Amino acid sequence: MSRTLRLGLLALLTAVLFALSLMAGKQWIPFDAWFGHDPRWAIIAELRIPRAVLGVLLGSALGLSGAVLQGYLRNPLADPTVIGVSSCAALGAVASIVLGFGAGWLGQFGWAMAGAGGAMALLAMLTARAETPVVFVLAGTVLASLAGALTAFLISIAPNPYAIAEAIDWLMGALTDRGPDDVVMAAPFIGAGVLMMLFTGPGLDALALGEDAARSLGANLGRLRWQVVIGTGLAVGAGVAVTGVVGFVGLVVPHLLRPVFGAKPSALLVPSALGGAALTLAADSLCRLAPGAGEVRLGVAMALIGAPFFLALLFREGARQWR
Amino acid sequence: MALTLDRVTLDLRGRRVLTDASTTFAAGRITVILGPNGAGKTSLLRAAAGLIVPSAGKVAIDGRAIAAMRRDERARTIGYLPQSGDVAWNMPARDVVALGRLPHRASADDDIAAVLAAMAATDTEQFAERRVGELSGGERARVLLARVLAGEPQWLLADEPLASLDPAHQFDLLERLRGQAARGVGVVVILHDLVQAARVADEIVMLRDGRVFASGPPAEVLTQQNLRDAFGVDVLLFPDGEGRMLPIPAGRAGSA
Amino acid sequence: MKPLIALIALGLAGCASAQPATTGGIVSTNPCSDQLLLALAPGRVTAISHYSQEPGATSIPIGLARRYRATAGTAEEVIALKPDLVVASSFTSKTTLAAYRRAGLKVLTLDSPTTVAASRDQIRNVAAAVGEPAAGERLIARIDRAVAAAAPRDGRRPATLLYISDSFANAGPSLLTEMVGLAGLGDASKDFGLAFSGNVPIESLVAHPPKIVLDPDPNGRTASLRRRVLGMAGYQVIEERFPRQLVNCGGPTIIPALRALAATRSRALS
Repeated sequence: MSRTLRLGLLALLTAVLFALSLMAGKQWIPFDAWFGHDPRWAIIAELRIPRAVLGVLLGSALGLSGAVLQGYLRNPLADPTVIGVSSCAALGAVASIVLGFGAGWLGQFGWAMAGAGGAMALLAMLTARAETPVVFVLAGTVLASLAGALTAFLISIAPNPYAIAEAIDWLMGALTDRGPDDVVMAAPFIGAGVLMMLFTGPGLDALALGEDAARSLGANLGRLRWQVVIGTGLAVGAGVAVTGVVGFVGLVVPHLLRPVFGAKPSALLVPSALGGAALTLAADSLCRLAPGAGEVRLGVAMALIGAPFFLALLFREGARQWR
Repeated sequence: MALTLDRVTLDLRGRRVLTDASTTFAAGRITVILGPNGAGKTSLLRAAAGLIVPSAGKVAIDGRAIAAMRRDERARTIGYLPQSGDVAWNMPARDVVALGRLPHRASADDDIAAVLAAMAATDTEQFAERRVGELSGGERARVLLARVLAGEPQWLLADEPLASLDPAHQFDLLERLRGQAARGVGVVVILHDLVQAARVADEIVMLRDGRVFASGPPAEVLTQQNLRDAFGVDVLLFPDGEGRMLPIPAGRAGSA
Repeated sequence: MKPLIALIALGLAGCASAQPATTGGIVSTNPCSDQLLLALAPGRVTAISHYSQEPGATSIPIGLARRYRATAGTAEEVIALKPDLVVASSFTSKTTLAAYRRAGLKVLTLDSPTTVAASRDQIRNVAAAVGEPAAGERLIARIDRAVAAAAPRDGRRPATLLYISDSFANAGPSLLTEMVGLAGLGDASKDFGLAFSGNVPIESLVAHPPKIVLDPDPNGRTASLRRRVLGMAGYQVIEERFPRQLVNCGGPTIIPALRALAATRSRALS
């Protein structure tokens, strides 16, 4: 089966899941409700369509970042949280919730992006003369720890219990009740980040031979680091800013697709974006279908789906799968 | 054609690793860089490849500074084979070799032709579809050499390409390097094995403590005195029946 | 930088209102009991909770709150004031309560009443504990008058969903639920299967829209989207602001809360 065919099938799967996510929910809305004056059209137009679009944006941002970071750090265990950007974006958002800065959604989004931007700047500074990926991962881990501690601190000094509840609820990650405004805010950043990341393919391939060999092949490692940091920072930062923290996608998707599309980093970029989108759409549909009054939080659902699946994969394949 | 290092001084992490090193590598010949551990061999090779910028001095090809060359032009001209044979991802050998085409803006057909030619030259066609992780050490070394050859460089710089290869594969690799030199490529290799160096080198550059200790044809450089001074070992010289004297290390040098 | 400055300002806010050390009296450590005590025995309150001096969390007028000393509710601060009575809540940590007991302080722990009757009992208990039974009875009488005034004249019960934050709707056995009923409104949260206060996704709302939606901030993110979607679906839903201060406590808050709910009902039905 050629690569084009596989890619086509993956795109088709994503499209099917997109259509499904427009229909699925506690209210099943069949396609004939789209036309005519069915009041459920409001659900489709204002809630499901933006939500599905956000699912695609978020999923592709996370999947692609995972593939890029695994390629850059030459480690199949890397994922977007390892560079600390999502924790810092979450810190920004929680700060705006708890301290009451930035009324409404623009403020919260802006604060989260500021957090992401701060993380990117710090990362760039900390790794300016890094010779190995180890420094990169260490810097990201430190940022994530610091951001996590500050987030907990902010929650502890929250002025009222509603701020605490809202912050904790938001941190679990959700696409619930995200509307067209969220799409408009996040799309430019995610789009810019995704575009930047798609250009890293050749550099990541060259890195597979080591840094000296990559440089000898003409790879500009300094520019590659910028593309990786800013690309993942923008895409993941904007994703977190709108939906909260959703994990697992960046780790699991490239891993699942490696046997299908090959281990060459550049070959995994577009498939990981599509796969991430498909996974997020599927998980979000399941969130809506879960029994009970409310919806399951997307971050929770992703972990509940991803972790056992990953464990099963590990048991079955053992260490062979890593390389 | 010549690749010259003109009074190159290198500092790495605050330590001076190469001082005032001057040497010329000729195209179509094999130059072997020898020296004890820490003498600065890898640093010299990396400087020649343009991977580190010297603190002083100039690296040039036919008078043209390589620092002034554009990244991809330099990548097309100089092929670098690092010591570490790790490939981060378990890709098919064909894909690894194809990485050598990255600096070229050639058509897909030209790329495929170059990859095939490189694999033919290294006798690796039969494992084109097999993953690198499943190949033996010798096979992987040939695939990595094919990667460099696929770039069709004019200069081939290799850092200890024989490390971790058994004697048969060592001879094999050196033969292929000789083949490249015969086609006009300038080959510069760092070797640890004095005997292999004596057998394959047209020129020797011997380093000690970051300086060029001696350079010239093997017969002139590989003398007992030089080897005692540079390596601190006594050697016995045996003729190999083809006009070369092979230095066999016999023991540590006696009290100076 | 901004969050840091805010943190410093928060920290200093406590110090700024410190008054010359007075000891004895009543120290209250949560906003609801602050409100109750200021209604029953204002002159004998030595310190209130710092939450009462924050606009987002207070149940008493800020100007009034600022005249009192505030504590963060740590055992140290409270013990140092040598109060005759400490009023804590069921949320006060066990270690803090144990510290009060070890220091030999008299502690009154109040829970959050979930019915008006429970609130009446609580007022009586507190009034007795601070030796102001008459003030307690006066307050209870005002509450009873408010309940009577809010009672509906007819059998209509417009379904109402009351949001206590941007996306959490009130549901389940709570004082708010009882007050919504007392004011002649229907509890819409039952339509969505909510057993306790929680999230109602806007999708579910569109399938079964209430007649009235009350929220603390109509310009909030979810509120705006909710309004938009309901409008697009063609539903006429009455949306009114219900201030957060009316949501937190029982006692004296019952009076303005019932008044607001009753007013909403009469506007909705006219």
